[in-house]
Amino acid sequence: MRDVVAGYGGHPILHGVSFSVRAGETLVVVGPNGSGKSTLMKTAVGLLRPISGQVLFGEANVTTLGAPARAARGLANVPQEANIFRNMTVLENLQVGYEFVASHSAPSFGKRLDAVLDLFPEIRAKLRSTAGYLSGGQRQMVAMAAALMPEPSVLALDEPSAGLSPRNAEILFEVIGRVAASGVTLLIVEQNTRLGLGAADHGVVLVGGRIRLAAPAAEVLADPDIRRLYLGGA
Amino acid sequence: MGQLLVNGIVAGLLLALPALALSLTFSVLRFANYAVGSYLSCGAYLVYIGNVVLGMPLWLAASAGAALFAVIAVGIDWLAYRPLRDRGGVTLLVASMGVAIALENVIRFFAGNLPRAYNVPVARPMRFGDIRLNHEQLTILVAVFAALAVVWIIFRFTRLGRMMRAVADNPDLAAVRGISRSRVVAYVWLIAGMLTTLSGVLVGLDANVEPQMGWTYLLPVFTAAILGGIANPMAAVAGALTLGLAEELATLVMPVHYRMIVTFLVMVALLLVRPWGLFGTRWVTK
Amino acid sequence: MTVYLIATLTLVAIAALAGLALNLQWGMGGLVNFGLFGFYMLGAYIAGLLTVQGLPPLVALGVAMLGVAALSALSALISVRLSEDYLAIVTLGFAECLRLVISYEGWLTRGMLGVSGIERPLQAWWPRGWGDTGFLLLALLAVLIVYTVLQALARSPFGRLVRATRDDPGVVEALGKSVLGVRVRVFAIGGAILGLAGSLHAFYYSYIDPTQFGPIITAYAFMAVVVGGRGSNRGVVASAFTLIFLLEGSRFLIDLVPGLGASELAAIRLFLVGVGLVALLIFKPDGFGREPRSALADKTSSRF
Repeated sequence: MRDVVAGYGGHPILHGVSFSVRAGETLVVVGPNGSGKSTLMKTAVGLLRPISGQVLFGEANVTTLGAPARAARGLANVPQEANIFRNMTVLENLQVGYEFVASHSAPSFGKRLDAVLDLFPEIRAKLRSTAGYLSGGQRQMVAMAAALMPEPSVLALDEPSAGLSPRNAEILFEVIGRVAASGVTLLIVEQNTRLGLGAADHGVVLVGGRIRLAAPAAEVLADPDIRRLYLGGA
Repeated sequence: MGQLLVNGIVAGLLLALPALALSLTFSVLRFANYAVGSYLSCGAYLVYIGNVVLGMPLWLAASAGAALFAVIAVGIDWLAYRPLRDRGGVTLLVASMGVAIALENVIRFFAGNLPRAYNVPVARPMRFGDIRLNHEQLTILVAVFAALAVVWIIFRFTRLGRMMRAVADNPDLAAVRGISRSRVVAYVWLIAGMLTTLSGVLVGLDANVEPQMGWTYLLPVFTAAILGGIANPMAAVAGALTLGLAEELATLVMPVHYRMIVTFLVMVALLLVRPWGLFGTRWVTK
Repeated sequence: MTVYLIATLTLVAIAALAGLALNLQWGMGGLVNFGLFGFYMLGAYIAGLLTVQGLPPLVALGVAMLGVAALSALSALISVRLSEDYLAIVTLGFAECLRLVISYEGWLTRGMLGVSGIERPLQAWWPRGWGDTGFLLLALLAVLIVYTVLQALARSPFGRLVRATRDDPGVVEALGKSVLGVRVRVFAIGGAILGLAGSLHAFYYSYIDPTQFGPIITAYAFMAVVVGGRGSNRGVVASAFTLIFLLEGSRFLIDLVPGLGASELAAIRLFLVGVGLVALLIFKPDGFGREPRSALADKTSSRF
């Protein structure tokens, strides 16, 4: 992302944000409420067109492409809320995740299903259940699994721990770690600073629509200012 | 009593297809198409042209009419509803009233107000003990069940069905997952156009083909759809059967011409007690 | 020609009242009343039946307004806590059922025979031969009163509340005001105006039967509001004027276009009404008028 200014109705919320994620790495964006995290995410996945600046995906400029077109290029997205089809079964969620995005050269549905279920063994037994009846943590896994079905190169997660109990959030970040280990590039926006940075290679701290700090995750975690501000002085 | 039940089921089946069409379009487009009654009349007249004017057998005329009106339904959406898509359900509802008036008067202009009948052989009703079933009722039974089966299979087991259900369930996520909303909308209107045409033919067989036919079905169709929980297409069918039976059984205590009042009372009672539908689960917009 | 003009202007006045009522309910309040013709019909029947029973016409008119207001409030109560789609269909159902009851309960309403000999209010006031003119003045006075009241209402705190309820019921609820209460009151006031319009209809024709009332009355009212601009009372009155003159004027086309029967012409006219409604919604969504707001209202509304 290069010099991105974005916002709603002409009011910029992001004031010239630049950062990049290297292939195969995990980048976590943290910051207080209202710092522009979700605006940043929407701009990244193509739900919001920036006022100025560019969004680059590999070598290609995707600034003007909408979400479906970016999805077709291998950018998968798990929105913060309402990220599953509640009235459909888990299997159908995975099917829908696959069939409208996967290119013809992609591995078959069956192969991808096996691969994804290996990453999320917890949902294998739930394939026939209606997704809306699952627990919060399981729903997040279904949402991530559906996004991973077409074998994307980048997975964007918007506040994956939102609404989860601390215990479930920890389990979820273990799963996210598994996904990262499988070679997928991850862009995560997360309110839970400690959990988020703990799972990341790099961290970006966003404050008031500007980048306050961009560094390897361990350095961000160790930064005294950040510790005081967002980790409650711990 | 047995006869009443049979008549009630047939009445319910007549409601089932337009109710299904109504709630299908509602589930994807989030607006209640008030013109559904006029769609039914238009379809019935198109088939009348094929059947009586051009002399086709009814099944052929019905297939051709359904295909033609399906395209017309997409066209109407393109001209009238699509430009208003972002302006909310109420504006679309008012627009659909305009569409209803326009369509009904196209019919009146070309066909006049006189009732007409399809050209079908007259046959004696069949008897099963005390219960009488005439050929029109048998046709309705078979045609509606066949149509429902087809729609159910499309819905449950095909890629198209998953597309429609995904958009109905969560339009934003469906877009993220690469589903084109405008294509789904077009498919939905195609299916709705076919269903309303078929139901128009069946209503025309059961009674007459006349410009008012859709209007008299409007309230029962909406009630049936609400009974099922309006955004839940397959439950609309159950709603239609319930309403058909209720209307028929009510003739035991009320004059026949007050059917509509039975419908209205059912709707009011439902809205007061279970507004999310008899068979639906509580509608959560999130 | 003068006779024709007076007749048409009377129809304009009645249509303007129906339009103003809908403008309050839908234009300002966002409540879709598809059963408008039913409430109008109820007004006509209450006024007509009471008048032939010997009640003074103005008293009958008052009863009609109260009666329709009460039933409007009731039908709003059934459905206003749900979305607008439900209100539309409940009011429509109510109207249809009312038409059925009026058609079949002959002992009360004289059924399809209709009610005839309905006396107009204050007929003794006017010189012989000036009855129609006098009635027109009365109708125009009614429009003026209703217009003034609605304008005052639109600028009042209640008017702001109504618009706020339309634009964002959630915020109104959060401010501790009852959305349900606002909507029921809006529907009742609109109902009273519809009762007035229906009563004038009954007085003017002095004969009513169920076939005079149909969904097309609803369509005309919606047309008037859409043309006039949702929320603009002045626009609605002006557009009722224009519409009725266009519709009445189009009757003369029958002499100009050979081969067109009355029913074909009616069909064309109504077809154009339907198409016009959709076209206006698409191309001129704000109509030709402007919603009246006080300076304060503009400030508060920008928050919503």
